[in-house]
Parts: sequence; structure tokens; C-alpha cells
Amino acid sequence: MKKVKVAWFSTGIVALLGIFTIGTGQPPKVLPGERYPTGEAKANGYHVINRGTLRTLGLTIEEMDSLIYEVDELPGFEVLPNKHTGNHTCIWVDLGGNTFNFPLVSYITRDWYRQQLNPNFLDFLTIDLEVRESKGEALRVLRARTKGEYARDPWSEGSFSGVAIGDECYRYPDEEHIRVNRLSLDNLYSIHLNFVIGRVKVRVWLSVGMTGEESRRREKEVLQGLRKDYVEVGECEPADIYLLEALALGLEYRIRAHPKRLVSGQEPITVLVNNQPVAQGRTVSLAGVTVAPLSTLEPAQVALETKRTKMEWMVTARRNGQWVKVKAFSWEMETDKGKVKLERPVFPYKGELVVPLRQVAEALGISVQQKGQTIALLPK
Amino acid sequence: MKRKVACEKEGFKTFESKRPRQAGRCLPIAMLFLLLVTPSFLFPQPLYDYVNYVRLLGPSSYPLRWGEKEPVTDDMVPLPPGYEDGSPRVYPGCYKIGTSGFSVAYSFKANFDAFVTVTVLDSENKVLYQKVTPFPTPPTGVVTLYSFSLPGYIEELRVIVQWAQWQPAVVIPVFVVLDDPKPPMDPDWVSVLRISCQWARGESTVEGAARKLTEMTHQNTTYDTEALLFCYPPLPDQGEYFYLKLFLNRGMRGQCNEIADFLCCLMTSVGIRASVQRTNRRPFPKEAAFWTNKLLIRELREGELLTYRHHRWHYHQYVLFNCSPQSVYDGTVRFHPTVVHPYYPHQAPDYGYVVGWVRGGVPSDGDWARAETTYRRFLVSPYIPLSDPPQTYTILWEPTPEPSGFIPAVYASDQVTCQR
Repeated sequence: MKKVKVAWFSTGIVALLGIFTIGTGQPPKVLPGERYPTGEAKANGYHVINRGTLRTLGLTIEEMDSLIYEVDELPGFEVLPNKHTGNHTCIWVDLGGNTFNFPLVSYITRDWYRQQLNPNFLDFLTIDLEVRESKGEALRVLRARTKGEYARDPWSEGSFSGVAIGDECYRYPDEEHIRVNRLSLDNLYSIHLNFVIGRVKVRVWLSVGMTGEESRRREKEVLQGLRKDYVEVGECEPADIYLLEALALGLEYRIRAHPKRLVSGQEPITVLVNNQPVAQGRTVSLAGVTVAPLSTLEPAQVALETKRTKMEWMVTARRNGQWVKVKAFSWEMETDKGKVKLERPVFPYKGELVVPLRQVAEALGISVQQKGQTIALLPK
Repeated sequence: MKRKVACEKEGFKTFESKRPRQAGRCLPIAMLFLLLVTPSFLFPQPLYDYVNYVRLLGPSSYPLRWGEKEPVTDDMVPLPPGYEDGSPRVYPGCYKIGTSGFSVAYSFKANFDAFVTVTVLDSENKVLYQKVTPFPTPPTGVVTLYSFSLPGYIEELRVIVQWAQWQPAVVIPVFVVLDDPKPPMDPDWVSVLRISCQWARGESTVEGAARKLTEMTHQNTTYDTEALLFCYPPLPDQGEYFYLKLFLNRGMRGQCNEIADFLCCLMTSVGIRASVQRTNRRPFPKEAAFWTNKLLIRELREGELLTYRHHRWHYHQYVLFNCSPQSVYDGTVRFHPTVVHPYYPHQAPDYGYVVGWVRGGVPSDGDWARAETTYRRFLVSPYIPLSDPPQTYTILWEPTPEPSGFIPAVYASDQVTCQR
């Protein structure tokens, strides 16, 4: 009798686990031209289309998904399902691939949000990425949306801080518009970067908004004359331009490291430790600065200790009494000798943090020698 | 009185006048409890195991399409509304407000007599009508919904037909609209009706519905100029293609083109005549056509970023109610409700929503200069914002196409999206 009860109990637990595991995780698999609904599916917050029946750009749904940050990869951020569709991610592969008449594009977009310290304010993050047939086509689209007739107010060339991002990059708004917004007591936290790397066009958009409840409260106060405007200068934190640019550089890394060679004319970099190649295909040059996952240093007697929570992702690397502490999306590292500004930010990729190789290696007492596309790490 | 007796003989019940018997009340609660605690995927109950057909008969529904694929002939919702054995889903219906004379034809896969319950719920789960046939009722037959008529306002109803109370119910969505759907929503899209009937719920006039739809469009769409766009305006400048299915799946994001086209679709889906117009002729000037006064465009996904500021636009796109420049509706912008216009001594009415304003700006609009809610006056700034001293510039304002705008060509396909 007891055994029967236990069996029922365990069946119940398994059933409950089944309920809770359904609805999380991965995009649904859709083959091109599936009968109903045609090459299309919705599940787990994903909306997926695959139209590559006649032509294809050669990227699968999973490969498109790997081009941007994973659902839980941004500390502090959570994915934001659309209130109408329930989707936080759209992956549309080979749009135009069921005809010969139109350009081909594969597209992925995902929305996140982050609660600010002030509970009435939220950060919103959107990343859109389009893979086109050629670099020329990607540049045409980028220029049309930043300079063409459909563009919003003027976009400026380059990134906010001057760091090189992609082959061609535009930012919005420029300093002039930030100043104008300040004068008119508006909220200025809607910042964009729009850039092209190879045949991929990327847009990263970070903005700060109020909760609907708070904005309605403020509107009421404005109407009653108790408040001059909805948002006053100094009420919000400054827009996190560094975060935006770190996100953009992390995306550039993913695109350059992608096995399907989305960027042409890029020579692979070889890293040698004790004359053995390591981190093959995962070492990339971002405008002259080589970045690689921290695990690249492990063969050089570096011990890694990861602390990953919902709000923070930090890794401490130790070697012979020297240590380095890096955080995801930070532009500096802590070392046993103090804080050091990094040439490129730290960002996550496939469960690891990617760092500027030379700066981190040297802080751990590893000498770095580079000859052409080969980098040798020489533990002292 | 005779009619009432006749109705009662046939088992007619309204929810207010007669309550179901005690057992009839407890059983659904018990069933609901069982359904809640039992994961449905463990015990699936497909309709085709129980139902041959359930059809909503009487007045014919407006033709509907799902809004999922092209060509339209492959996308049509079969008539009559209801469920047929083997169909992948239940077919909805769409009717004019106040329509009456409905009946339900049913055939259930059962070899016993029981009873049929027909219940009509509104979108807030309020019971508008209920009829339970007397026991025993054979599993095939027709139930006439005596004295039932659709409400006199926009609504999405559910007609629930159930054979015995432990069997799965067929739930037929019924959209109630003001009039025949107009182009481009002719045939009407189910995916659009689900939104328009929810947003304009309770409205019984075309003006009220247009106002509500405009406000809700502004509150629920996102102004986004850099994402993949869902409109393609070919030259000559007489219209544009609108890829509505992708626009909805992406979460209603786009420029003024997409938002105006979408508002036009919402309005026409509930029977309002509407068209779309641009402030300027293509190709648009290289330099901006005008600076705007301070206005709010909704640039965020969920929370609300209230950013009233000036914009520099090459053009803007809006909706003409009844295809008339005397009545502009704009779901993209909203004017500050308290900031008095710098050059005219009045405030933006309607909390700054552009609902039924006179377009203005061309002589054919008559006495537009005197109208308080002239759209152009609020939209366009005569000076370059924040210039000190005030600096004028050449405003370009050529509403196109004149006089009544264009009807966008709306598609459920996605090829041309890649072009812009």
C-alpha cells in the first residue's frame, strides 16, 4: 500500500516538473515550407519563420539565435515578452527565400528590461540583427535607415565614446540633441547604435522609461499644475553609453567569431600556450585589440573562479599570487595592483567572459608576444 | 406572454430570470476544479472525438480571412462559423451590431440523449444569454436562440455550445462591428478584429470607435524607425504595401507609415471608412520638410517614456476618417495637454490625441485657420526650435495624394519587407 502511495506521489512530482519545464528555453524547430502554418511556429516566447524553400543565406534558426545574447546572459536584465504577442524573440530566417524577386534577409530581434533602483523607472534594451546577402546590401540598408528619407532626426557617424565598432557605425542622438533635450527638460535616455560588420547589420537600443502607473500619476499632477513636466533633469541616472557600447562590441565579437564566416577577408588568429594552440576560432581582433575567452589562459596555470548571479557575472583569475577580477560589460578590471581601464569591454559568450587578451594576461604575469596572426602566451 | 410560455416550453432561459438547477451549478464548478488541477496535455480532449459539427446559423457572417497567408483564397475562414469534424480550429463569425435571428445546429458523437447548453459570453465573461435544452435531447438537432440579438456596440463575444456538461465545449468567437468592413479590411482579418474589437469595446458610434482606436493605437504601438520595416511605398506616390502579419508578430512596431496603416486597418475592420495620407510628396526633400512642435511619440515597448520633444521630419503619415481632410486621426503623435501652443492661444484638446481634427494647411480646407484643432498648426513649428532669436525656415506641406488619401494594400506575406 505504501509503495502504491509512493508511486502516485512520484508520478505527481514528475507530472508537475513536466508542467514547469514546458514553456522555457529554446526556439521551436521549423523546417522551411512546413505545411501548417507554413514554415512558421510560436513557442516559449519565440516567433520563428523559415522561408528558405528556394534560396537561403545558409544560417539556421539556432545559428541566428547564437548571434545575439542569450535570454539569461545579461546580468540584471530579463527578457520582455510583448504584451500582445507574448514573444520576446523573433527569428525570421530567409525572408524572401520562397521567391526569386526580392532581396534575402535573416532577422533576429530580442527585447529585455531591467528594473532600476527607483522602482518607477525601467531600462529597456532591444537588439535587432539582420544578415544580408552581401556587405554592400547591409551598408545600403544601414545608410537608408540613418541618412535616407525614412530616417529620423540626424544620426551621427561613429560611436559615442569614439571606440571603433564594426565597419561603419552611426549613433543617435548626437551631443547637440542631448543638449537640446536637456534644455527642454525631457528624458534623454533613448540611445542607439546602428552598425554593419561584414554582411550583418546590427542595431542596439537602450532606453529608460517610466512604468505606466508612474507616468499616469505624473500626467495627473501636470494637469493639476503640481508638476511642471513629467521628467526633470537629474531625476534619472545618466544614460549608460558604456553599457551600450560594450553590448555592441560583444555582438561584433559573436559575428566575427561565427563559424559561417559572416565577415570576409578576416584572417584567423592563433593563440599558443606552451607551443600548443588554444581557443581556436574564439580569438578575435576588435579594431586591433585581440579579445579571447578567459579559459584561453587556463593552460598557463591560471585558475578561474566564477560568481554568476541574476544581477552580476564576475570572474576572478589567479596565478602565482597575482589576480584579476572582471565583470561582464565592464570597461575596467580589478587587479592586485589596483583598477585598470580596459581597451575593450568584458562581455559574455557561450557561458564564459571574453576579455582583452594582452591586458589580462600581462596583469597575471604572462608575457605576450605577437607575430602576424599568431600570439604566444609565455608564462614567466 | 404567449411567446414567453412558448420559449419556456422549449427550455429557454435567460441568465437573469432563471438560474440553472443546483446540480447544474455545481457540476461546472467541479469540472472547472478538475480541469485546473489536471494538466490538459496529460488528458487531451480533441473536439473531433466528440463533435461532428456545430454551426452558427441565421444571418450570414461578413466574409473573414485569418490573416496568415497569401493568396487570400487560401486564407479564407470557411462559413458558417463553428466547427466541422476534421477542421483544424473553430471558425469565427463577424456581424453588424444588433443582428438577431441566430440558431445553432449541432451534431455530437454520442449514442445517448442528454441536453445542449448554448451560452453567450462577452469579453468580460458576463453571460449575455443562456439556453439549456430540456432532457432528453438527441445528440443532433437545432437550437434557436429566441430573443437573442447581438449588442449595439463593438464587442467580441463567445458562443459556447456544449453537449452534456462533462464533454468539451465548442467556443465560437463572434465579432460585433458597426458596419460592413471596408477596404483594405475587406474581407476582414481575424487577427485584426481580435485587436480592434477589444480596443473599441463598448463603442456604438463611428466617431467614438475611431477615437478609442486612435488612443489605443498610440498607447500600444512603438515608434521605431530602425527595425525591419513593414511598409513599402512604391512610386508613383499613390499608395503603399503594408505587411500587416509581420507588423503584428513583431509587436506593433514601426514608423508613422506602419502606425497610420495599422490604424486605418483597425478602423475599417469595424466598419469605419478611412484612408491614409502623407504630409509630403515623394521623393521626400533631402532636408527636413518641417520641424514639429513638442510632441510625444511612443518609443518604448512596455513602460511609457513621456518624451515631448521637437522632431525634424521629412514627412508624416496619418489617417483620414471617412477619407476626408476635415477629420484627421493620428495614432503616432500626441501633443502636450498643458503646453499652450506658442503662437495660438489655446491648448491641445482631448488630452492631446489627434481625433477628428481639421487637417489644414491648404486653401481647399476652407476656414482651417480659424479652427482650434487644426492639425497642421499643432504639428508644424513655424520656427526652428530653441533658436534664439527665433529663426524661420521654409515649411514644405503638400498632402499626398489629394484630396482623400490612399487605401494601403495589406498583405499577409513577408517578401518585400526586406527592401527597405
